[in-house]
Amino acid sequence: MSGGRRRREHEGARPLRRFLREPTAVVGALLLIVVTFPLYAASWVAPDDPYVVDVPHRLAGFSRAHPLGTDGLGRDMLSRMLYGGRKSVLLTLVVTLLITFVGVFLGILAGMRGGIIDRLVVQLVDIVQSVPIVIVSMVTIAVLGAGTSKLIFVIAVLGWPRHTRVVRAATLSLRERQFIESCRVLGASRLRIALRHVVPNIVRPVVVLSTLDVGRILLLISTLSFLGFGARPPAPEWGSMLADARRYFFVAPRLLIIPGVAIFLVALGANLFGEGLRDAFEARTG
Amino acid sequence: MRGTGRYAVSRLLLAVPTLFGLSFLSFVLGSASGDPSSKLASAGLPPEILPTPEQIDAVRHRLGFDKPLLVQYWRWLTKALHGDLGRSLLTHRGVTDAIRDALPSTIELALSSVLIMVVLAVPLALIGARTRGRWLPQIVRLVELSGASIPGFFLAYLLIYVFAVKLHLVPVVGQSGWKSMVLPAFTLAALPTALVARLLQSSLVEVMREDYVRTARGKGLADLRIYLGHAMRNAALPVLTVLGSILASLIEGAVVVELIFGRSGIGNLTLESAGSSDYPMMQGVVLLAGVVVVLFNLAVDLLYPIIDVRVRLGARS
Repeated sequence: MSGGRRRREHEGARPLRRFLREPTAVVGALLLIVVTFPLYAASWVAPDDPYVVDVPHRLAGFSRAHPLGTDGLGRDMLSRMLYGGRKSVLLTLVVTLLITFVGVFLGILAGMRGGIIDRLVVQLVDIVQSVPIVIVSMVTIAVLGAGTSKLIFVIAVLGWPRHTRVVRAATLSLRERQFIESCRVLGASRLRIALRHVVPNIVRPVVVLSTLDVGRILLLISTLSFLGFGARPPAPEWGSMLADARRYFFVAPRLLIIPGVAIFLVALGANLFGEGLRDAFEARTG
Repeated sequence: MRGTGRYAVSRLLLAVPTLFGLSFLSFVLGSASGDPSSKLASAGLPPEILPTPEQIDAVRHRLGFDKPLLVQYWRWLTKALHGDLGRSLLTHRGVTDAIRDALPSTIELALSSVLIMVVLAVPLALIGARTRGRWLPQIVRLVELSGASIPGFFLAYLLIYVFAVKLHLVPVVGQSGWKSMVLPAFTLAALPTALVARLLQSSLVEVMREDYVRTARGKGLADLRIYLGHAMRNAALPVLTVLGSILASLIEGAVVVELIFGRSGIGNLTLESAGSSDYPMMQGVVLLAGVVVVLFNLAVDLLYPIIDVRVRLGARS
């Protein structure tokens, strides 16, 4: 057993080395760490309360008291960026995890069961994928009412088809493989085969897909917030902060630029990191 | 040819349940916004007078909201198939008319974006696929992924700030002349360009390993001629399969772009109707967006075996 484990560790180490050799992948990982790390520590790092209005000092420039200046109501921009970013990133992670869960579950279900269930899932993928997600999210949130929990719900309901497609295809090809066949002959239940043999074999593509999805979901959430269908003011969130800053565009463009750059950097970091992971994983098999 | 015919028919049949599902989704989304009868019944009355329950019931009955959901859906669908999507609660105009008026502006915007996408994505993919070495491919990748990572609303303001506010090259907002089209079209093109360039690049790299490319090399053809004359045509095929999702992202992007640049169009219509819970209009735009994407995907799937004779249709069934 120990020999097997050592071999697995060895295989695990090679993608890491390959990953470290890709400059863009490392840049992506660093971006994610550097930009998001302060967000988790927002309550310690933030110099000010993100809700405290200070009208006399509104639209102030960069200063020692307000490193990123103040917004249109005199609220400290850095604190709002930190708390807002924590909200944006946390929402993104929750939604991505939910999508991964739903997508993987449906993909394995369709791939393992086949027949009518498979056809239903494929049809559902077809329907959900053909609706532009921003438009349906907007309309659904208009119906349900705004709020972050509804935002999470709507995107999770609409976002899973890509995972399902990939996982279903992988499950179908795994099912034909010898070792799964032998498990079935030995009398292993479908659930056991799915959990013990299918899931471990699809972890890598799923991790890559979910990492790449982080960028997509962050953009989606901030777009919906920007349009007024996500987080509601005064709660800080990067997309709604940017929407808020629109009216100060000619006076204080930095209010727009700062959250915009932050969203861009996190999304770029996730995309670079995800592609780096994919290359590192794929090169091993190919 | 018999295989092609059978494939076409089965593909057409597959689109039917998708279209039904889509229309049901559009309908349910709209009707879930609640029974608008009480709102409608009080429409003609002064604000201090509330409609009586009988009046509300009358409106409800007249609009068919007292019927079961499936009956309502069927009524809505048969009307929709005749081009009647009801009237906007906001403007009292026919939904179909409003969409017809908004469509040209959005199509114009989308086509301009597609033009920009082609002009940018092809060279990017060529550079990405051709260059060896340590840094240049990484830079191309960085540029492409940046296009996929920048939020449309942020890019729009960046472009406005640089090209309209600072350089005065184009108007800030509005819809007059080709100059006012440049920034919106570019904003909308960023994400599709990134997607297409990445896909085209990896498919070019694959194609360049094929035998016929080696033959072309052996004949002594110039490198660029091989790329443009031979490889590009085959490398472009996988791009066809993502055109449907590109179209979806253009429709989505139009919401943000039309809002920021003050353009009229489908995106604006969507935003207005969702902002005011105008349910017939919401049903209309969701249905339109979905149907366009489904039909587009269908067309691509049907054309694919004609364009790429290598697709063996027998194997698909």
